[in-house]
Amino acid sequence: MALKEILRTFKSALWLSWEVETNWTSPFLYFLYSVIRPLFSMLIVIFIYKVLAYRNPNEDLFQFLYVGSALGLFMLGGLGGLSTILQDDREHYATLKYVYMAPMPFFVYLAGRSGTKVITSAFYMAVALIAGRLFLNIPILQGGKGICLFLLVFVLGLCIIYAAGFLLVGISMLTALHHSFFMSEAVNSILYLLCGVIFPLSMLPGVLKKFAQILPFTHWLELARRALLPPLSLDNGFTGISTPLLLLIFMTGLAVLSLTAWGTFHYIEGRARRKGLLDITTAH
Amino acid sequence: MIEGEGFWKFLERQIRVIIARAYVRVVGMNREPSWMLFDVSLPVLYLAAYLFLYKSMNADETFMGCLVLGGSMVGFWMNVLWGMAGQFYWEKEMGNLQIFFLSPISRMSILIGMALGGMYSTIIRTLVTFFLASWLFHVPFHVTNIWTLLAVFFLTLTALYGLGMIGSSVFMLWGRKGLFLTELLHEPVFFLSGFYFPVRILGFVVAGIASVLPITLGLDGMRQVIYGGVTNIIFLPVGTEILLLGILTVLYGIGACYFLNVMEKRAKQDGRILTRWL
Repeated sequence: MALKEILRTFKSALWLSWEVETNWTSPFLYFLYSVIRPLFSMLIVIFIYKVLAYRNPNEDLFQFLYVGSALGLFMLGGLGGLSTILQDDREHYATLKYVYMAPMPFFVYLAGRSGTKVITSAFYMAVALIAGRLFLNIPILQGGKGICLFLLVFVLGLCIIYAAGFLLVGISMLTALHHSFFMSEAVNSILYLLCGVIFPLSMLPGVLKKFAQILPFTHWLELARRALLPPLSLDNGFTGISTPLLLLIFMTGLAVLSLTAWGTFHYIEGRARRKGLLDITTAH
Repeated sequence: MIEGEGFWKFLERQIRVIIARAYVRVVGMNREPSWMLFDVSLPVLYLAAYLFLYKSMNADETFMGCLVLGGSMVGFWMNVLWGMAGQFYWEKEMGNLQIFFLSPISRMSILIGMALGGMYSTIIRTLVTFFLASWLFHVPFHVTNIWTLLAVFFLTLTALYGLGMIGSSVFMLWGRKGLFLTELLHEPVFFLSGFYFPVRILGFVVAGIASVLPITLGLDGMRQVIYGGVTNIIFLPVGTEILLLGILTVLYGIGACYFLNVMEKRAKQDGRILTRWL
């Protein structure tokens, strides 16, 4: 498969996803729409903190909470957006069969088709982080420290979103619309609870904490926090593990997840084709 | 009303429509048991994350209770947004909307049926979420007056679903634009209505403005009745909230009738009833 073909497919699918997501309004209104949601998400966590910490403020916990919520907008938003793409094309627009027959790599199309949702999630995160730095004086990337690590972690974040996303997309080829929706929501809820997005892992009961500590998404969040913030005095379950070692652990997890996703996606794609599920409609 | 038809015949037909539309919702929920499992467990997972956050900040039982109630009631707002307001979009996409318009039935009856069916499933989900979260996180509750609680709860629901009916009229004209608007009403409403913290924290002016959403008053009122210790963080006395909810119920009911007629007329003039994917 030529690189040119991959790039052309990705670009076309990305353009399509941009049109589908944004052509219902003007670019200005779309920008406003894109800012309002993350803004209010962050306001919720700020006010929760304000309500509970007025007697006993804990700056480290606030930074942990705020940055974790911002990172969660990217991680969970991107994953959620990617996992519903197949159903959109198959059930709603009924275009999947035509796309599948077209002479282009299918998975590259799906990667591009979900591009706008992933980019929007990254934008949500950027808005939240910038607002935190400017208006709340949270020392995010203070003095430019950690910027290289954050850029690396951000790219790796895209990789893990796509790896997990393709796993979910693969599974959703075999399922009905409602099941796919629930599956996507379930994965998001579990990650929100177990990855330490808004509270330190030390709060979780023993077994759950151990399980949470082996999830690559948890490692990604911890790495991103280490890149963005100065060291915090909170036990998030990784005390004593250096950043390079954590990066290595994360990369191992990412490799395993990517290989699993790749294998599962292709296996299920063949199976769905044999069973005639690529153009099935299970109602909106 | 069909020409020559008496009032009682008309009423009987509308009641049959309401039952029929509600039946679809109830059967739809029960036909796949795994959906019920997801419906109940997913809100608990999200709520658990917030409860762990509260615990990490040593929140007292009253605040934990406020969160449990707010987190459990999220289902109603989602149901109003997607199951009421957004439903006409999906009906349009599936081709049902035109059949509704051709049938000798009131649009309000269809929406009331949808609301009743949606309420039934959401009440079950909310109760299970509430009791499960209270049990798992040891959050005690004590209902001081069951009748006041029921009055606040059902007035909140009727006003809320009335608002949902007004929302559904928007989808006669709008397609995807309406869907994006619906998505936009998640986080801002969670924030302004005080789903995750008592609304009083926002100050009287903001909380007052947010009171156009019945769930704001409903949550505050129910918290007062279920958790006695919230006296220092209440927004308005529960009696006032019941009165305001009653007014909102009437206003939104009348508003729904008006907007449905206006939007239907405009949608027909603009040829939007049959359009898909726009």
